[in-house]
Amino acid sequence: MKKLLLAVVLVAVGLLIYRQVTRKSLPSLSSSEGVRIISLSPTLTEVLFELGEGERIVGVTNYCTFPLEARAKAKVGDLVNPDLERIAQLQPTIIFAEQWSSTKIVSRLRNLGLKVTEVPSPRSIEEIYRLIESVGEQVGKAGRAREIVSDMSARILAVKEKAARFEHHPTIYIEIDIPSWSVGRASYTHEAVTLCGARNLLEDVDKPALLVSQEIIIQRNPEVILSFEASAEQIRKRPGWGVISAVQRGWIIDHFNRDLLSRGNFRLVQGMEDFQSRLESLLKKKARSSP
Amino acid sequence: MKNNPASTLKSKQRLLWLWLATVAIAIIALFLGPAGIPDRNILLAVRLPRVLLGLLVGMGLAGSGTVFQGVLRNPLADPFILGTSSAATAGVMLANLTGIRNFYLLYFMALGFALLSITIVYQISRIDGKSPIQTMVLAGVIVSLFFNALVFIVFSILYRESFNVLFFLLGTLTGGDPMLIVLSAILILLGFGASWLLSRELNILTQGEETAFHLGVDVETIKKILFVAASAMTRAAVAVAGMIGFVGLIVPHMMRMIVGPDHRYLIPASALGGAILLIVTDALARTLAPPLEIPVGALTALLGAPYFVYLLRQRQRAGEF
Repeated sequence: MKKLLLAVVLVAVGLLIYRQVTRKSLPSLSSSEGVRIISLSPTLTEVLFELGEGERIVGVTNYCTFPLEARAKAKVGDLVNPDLERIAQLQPTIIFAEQWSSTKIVSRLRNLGLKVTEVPSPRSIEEIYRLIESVGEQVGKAGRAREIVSDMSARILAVKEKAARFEHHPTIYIEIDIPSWSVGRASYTHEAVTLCGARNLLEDVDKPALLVSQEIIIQRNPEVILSFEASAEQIRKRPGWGVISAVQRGWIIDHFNRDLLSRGNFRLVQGMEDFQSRLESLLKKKARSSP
Repeated sequence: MKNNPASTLKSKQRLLWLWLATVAIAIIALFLGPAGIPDRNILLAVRLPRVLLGLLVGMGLAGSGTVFQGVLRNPLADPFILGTSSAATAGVMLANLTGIRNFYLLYFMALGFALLSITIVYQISRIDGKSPIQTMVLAGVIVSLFFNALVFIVFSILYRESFNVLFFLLGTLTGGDPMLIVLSAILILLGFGASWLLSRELNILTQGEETAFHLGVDVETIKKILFVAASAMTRAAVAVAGMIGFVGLIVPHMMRMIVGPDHRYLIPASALGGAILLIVTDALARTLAPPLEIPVGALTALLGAPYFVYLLRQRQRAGEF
């Protein structure tokens, strides 16, 4: 028993040493003087890159996969489970985090003497603008931030104008995850889809996200289904869903890049344009088939 | 055991009433839901499968709870408390992690984990052929902590799917691959049938293993069969509904008060009682905050945890602890 215990401890220590040795060596501090940024949220990482701060980022979360350059940065865990040692070691001059009421991590980082800027998680497009502007101000790129915001609002205006020309604004069930997770009106995903010319089936629910009863979806009978996870085929096969208008007409938009409609930053506009063009082609099909 | 209602006739009568109550509640539940009075499609395609699943899962969980309590001669035994459900879940998660996609392999891997965990708990807590309450519960807590830790390690690695996995951990009757439901139904019915067939032997076992041995019961074999039957029922229930706790604990106790401790009546009564409890809590889960679903496992835990404390305190007062 003692020998076994000893063996286990030795293997564990060996693994740790191996990990330590093989760990990516840190960029030397002298080479990048000045601002050193760590981002604790994929949304913020994308905003920082868009602001042209990519060079100054020294650490990102494990889930920051966009843009491609973000994948090459040092990984510091995530906001729930950050690697405090790694963060301290990277000697950031500023850390960006989304505000989460449930985590004490920000105060722990501050206790380490680190400067943390918390940005509230956006729930609407207006709040996304404010997020981009406040990050811009923090890194001294207020001008670039304003450019991004005005570009976004111009493109959103175009989306709105296009939506206004739709003869019909179909109801839509937005499934962000299986089995039936959807969004209520307290989310920018709801706002984005609405601006594109569809009406959220669950606009009466004042919540960002919810698991909705399947019978409610069947009863409310959406004309369109937008699915981030399940394929159209899987949705068709669900018991009782055959009667839904979207299923009968085949108006199911699947294989949609979820990040485009669920990151609170400039990429949302891309998502809106993509979604709107797919929605439009569905509506056109209808116009052709029923003269 | 107190509250023992006397005659066999009475137990039989009460069992019949339970049958009727189960059928009545199942029918009523069909008409409860956020969509109000359902049309044919919602009734047959959404509500009916949920009610049937509730029946099946409740039966499996309460059935396995009854068997565990009987074999271990421990009133606090429950697949949730003993770590059997955690182990089965850990099995599923590990299979996910290793990329095992073969349906049957996945299923029986979880069953293997469930059996492993109950064996461990039993071995840790056994003293002179008996499993005293304290050591049993402690062993269960330790084993389920261990398997929960495994579950959460895998959980943090599989971050991408975690939203869903979390919901699975809380228990739900909403999802369901028909294949999985059929396989689980077969397992639950087999486990239930085997337990019921062995209910006389189980009665003798609860008198103590030595007595049982002297009465000519092949104690070890019977115990093994019952463990496998109970683990299979737990596993099957977890496979279709996730971790729904405490049903296996509460129901056998309530049923013991109603039909008495004789397992010939207690096992079917618990199966019915479990079905009633789950059908009712699932109806609550979908009607309390429409159009939202509340995880049904959270509701049963809400009911079960205080009941567990109550049981513990009662036994302390009775000096049985």
